[in-house]
Amino acid sequence: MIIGRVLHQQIFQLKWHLLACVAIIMVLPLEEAMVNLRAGDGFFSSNLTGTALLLAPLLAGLIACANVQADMDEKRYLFWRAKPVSVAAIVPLKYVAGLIMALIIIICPVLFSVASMRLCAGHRAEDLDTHYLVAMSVISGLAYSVCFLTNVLVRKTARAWLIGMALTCFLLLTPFVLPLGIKDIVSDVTFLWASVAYLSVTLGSALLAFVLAVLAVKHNWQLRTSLRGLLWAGAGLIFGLMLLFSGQIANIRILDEKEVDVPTPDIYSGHRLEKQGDKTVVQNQRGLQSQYQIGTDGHKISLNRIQETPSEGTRAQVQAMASRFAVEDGLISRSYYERGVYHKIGDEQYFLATHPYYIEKQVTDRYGEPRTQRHWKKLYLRSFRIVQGLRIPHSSLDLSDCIVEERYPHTSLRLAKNNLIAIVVNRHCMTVQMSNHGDLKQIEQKTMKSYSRFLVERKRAFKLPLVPLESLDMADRVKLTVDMNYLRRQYFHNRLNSTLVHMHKDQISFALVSNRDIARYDVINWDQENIYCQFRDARPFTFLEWRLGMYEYSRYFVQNGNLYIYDRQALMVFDINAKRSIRKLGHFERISMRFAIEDIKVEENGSILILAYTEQRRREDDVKVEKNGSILMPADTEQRQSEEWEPRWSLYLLDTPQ
Amino acid sequence: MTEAAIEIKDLHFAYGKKQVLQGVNLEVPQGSIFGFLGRNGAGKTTTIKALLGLQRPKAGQCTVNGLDSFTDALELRKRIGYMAEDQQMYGWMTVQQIIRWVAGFYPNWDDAFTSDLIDKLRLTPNAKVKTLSMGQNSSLALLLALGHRPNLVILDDPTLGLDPIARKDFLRHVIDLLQSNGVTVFFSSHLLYEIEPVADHVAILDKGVICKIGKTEQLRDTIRRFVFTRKATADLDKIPGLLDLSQAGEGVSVTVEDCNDAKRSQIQALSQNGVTEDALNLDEIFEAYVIGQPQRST
Repeated sequence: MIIGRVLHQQIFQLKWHLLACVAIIMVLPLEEAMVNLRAGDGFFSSNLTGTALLLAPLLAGLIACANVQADMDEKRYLFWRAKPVSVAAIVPLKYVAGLIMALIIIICPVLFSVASMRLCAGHRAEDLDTHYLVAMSVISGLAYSVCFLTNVLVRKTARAWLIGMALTCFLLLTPFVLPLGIKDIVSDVTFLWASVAYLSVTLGSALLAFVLAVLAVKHNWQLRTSLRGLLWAGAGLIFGLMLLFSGQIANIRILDEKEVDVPTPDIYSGHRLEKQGDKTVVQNQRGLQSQYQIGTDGHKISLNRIQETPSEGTRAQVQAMASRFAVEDGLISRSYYERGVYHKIGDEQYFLATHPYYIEKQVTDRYGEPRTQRHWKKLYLRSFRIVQGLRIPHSSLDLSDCIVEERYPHTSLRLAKNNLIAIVVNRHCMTVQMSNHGDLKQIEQKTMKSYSRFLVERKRAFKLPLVPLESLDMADRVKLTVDMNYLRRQYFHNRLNSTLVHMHKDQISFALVSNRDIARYDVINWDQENIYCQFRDARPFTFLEWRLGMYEYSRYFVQNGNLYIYDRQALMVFDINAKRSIRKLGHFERISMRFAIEDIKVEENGSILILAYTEQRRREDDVKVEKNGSILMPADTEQRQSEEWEPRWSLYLLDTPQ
Repeated sequence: MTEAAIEIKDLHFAYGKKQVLQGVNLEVPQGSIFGFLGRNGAGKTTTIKALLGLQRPKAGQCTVNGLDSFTDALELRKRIGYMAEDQQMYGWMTVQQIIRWVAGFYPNWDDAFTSDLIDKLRLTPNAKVKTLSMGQNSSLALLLALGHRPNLVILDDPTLGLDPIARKDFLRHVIDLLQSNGVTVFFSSHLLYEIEPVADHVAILDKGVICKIGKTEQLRDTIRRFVFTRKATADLDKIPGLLDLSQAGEGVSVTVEDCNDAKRSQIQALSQNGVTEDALNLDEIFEAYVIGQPQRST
């Protein structure tokens, strides 16, 4: 066989197709260059070159079909197959010839961009990312190979192209929605190794398609197609993708959902689910709570109205006891009720919170602009007794020696065993004993060593300075040490009510979430100074998880061996107690901008209660209708928009993820 | 003994569950023009594809000039010329280009012979293949099958779709170019009148089996039709070698193979009076084998 003659025939066969494809892909760059020329910037293309390259896979598929279609016509197939030519020699030659043409189509706009930028704009083309160019080339290679194969099998150009492109899309998308049990190579395509892995799989698929094409030519395999069959197959592919997609992101069953009426001074005030002894209520940032107690028995959400209406006596008691918390005049209070904790002693329910006080001073900043600066003067830990839903001031402990005037006092509270409360204020930590009558007494106060250790090389063993509160038992100290380091970075950064640590038998482990994965660490040892930690394994986020907003600033905590990560629209649950590797248990997702998870609580049985902010279009009867029938809407567009959507809070009860 | 040009032994082939060839046995002598007859769908093209090594049979063996069709397919295709029915080629090429392209596959391509053929077949080298008439297209296909001077040419219904003049023209070329050079021609067709004048051997393929094979002249001599008025007691089913039987009242017409004097006497005995004996042409012989009904009732 004379290779030159075969190549000549291929080029001759494809010349018009090649010219047409080049013309199509050059439309956008030339258009841009013309616009630039008319604008007086010069005849060059830069921005639209990348966009034009999106067409490359489609055109590569066309080239593949044109390349092989003529040879696979039944009678022409017999004509050339009866010649003394080896399929293993001629098909690769044809394949390569067509592939080169497909690459020429990609190169044309790139060359034009680079050349025109150099010649007419005086500098190199900057906008075209090399990775993008490589990715588009590889994807075009896949489209070319798959269309080559489908044309060999189907032997009808238009159908083969459609099937080829559909298969290419399927192959490109499938790795992103693979079942969770399969290693996810596209966990984060922004990382080079993942990109390389993904592109390698893409290239591998292209090669496989090519090998299959050679075999199909050799054995004269044919696929009989009908329009109806194609529609079914297409629908099947889409359905398969959607199944995989939904299987990844919506696999926790919703047992029940209910709207809840919560006090809403403004829509921006955060709400959270608060456990008060055996009661769960919704509480807002200002400490106002809903009038409902939430129950979750029998897979149903029940809202029971709290019948406690404060009596006049109780209100008077609140007024009377307010003097207990009086401070010197001129100090401004900044209460953080949402960061407080509830604690039940005997039959009494107490609430604990920190109260910092400040004064405001006018200062001039470094730009010479006047501004108000807060000077923190006092800090108290206060306990309240809860009576008929009201907080009656009870006891106060002065922690002012822990604050620095010009620095905002970061405070965190955590309930520990034996009615102890661990408090962290800036670099100070202390334990406070709460008596059976709710009185507060400081047990010890220490200064902590440096915290907030960021892991540079996580696979190396590392140590964290142990919280030096000896009045706490060791388990609480270890837990607090880890949480002090990593939990405080979360959105509700001053709360230590939740933990990242899981203790099971003799094993202590904790989980950290980053942009790319969930890492599991073991606490392997501790002494009076430090705890010693070792990385165990990591579970990368899948592409979908990543795209749907899981990242290190998502809120997360560990409870009963499960890691719960949640953000505005998604909640994911992972089993971090699993021996072999971290296992995903479930995923709840609401793809809506009008949905935001505010807080979650995990019930004893593992079911999950979600408090979510939603918006609902205002009902028609809310719109005022004038007598003449015209609808009265606010004139201001912004106001109208905000009035059309009504903020609502909803509770969702999710099944135990398994 | 001279080796057969083509030898097919117990060839079986099926498309899925449909049995196409059910034990084909065939021998084509060197230098012969071999007519391979069969109705549409009888399995002629399938047999040829197996000969060319393009289809692997379920069972059986094909050898061409001593080469196995499957293990030595490439070598075998270098030595034979093949022309398919309604041959389709690359329409965008010119005659010259397609000749050059095909020539690239054959190490022994004869350019001088090809130029000669272009003239003989009255082909225009610069004409695009897609502009050629059916007759010119067949001529070009014939040229491409012969350019490397093969010693065996397989023609699969080569005149399909040609008008009578073009068909005659084509056959004249085949005889001129091949018979005189001692090339073996394996000529498959269902148009018997075009094979009859040129073929010296024929085989009849029906429903995947060869039902008759032999020299053309011999077939003509030994297959006869007898017309007579039957005796009332005559048992027509006992006529040996009966291929076809038709009756109209007492009048009977029987077609008998391997006819000899003994059979003639036997038929004479069944007749009330005289028997008329007719020689058959190839068309009628084919009909007798393929659609003949020996057990036809009155």
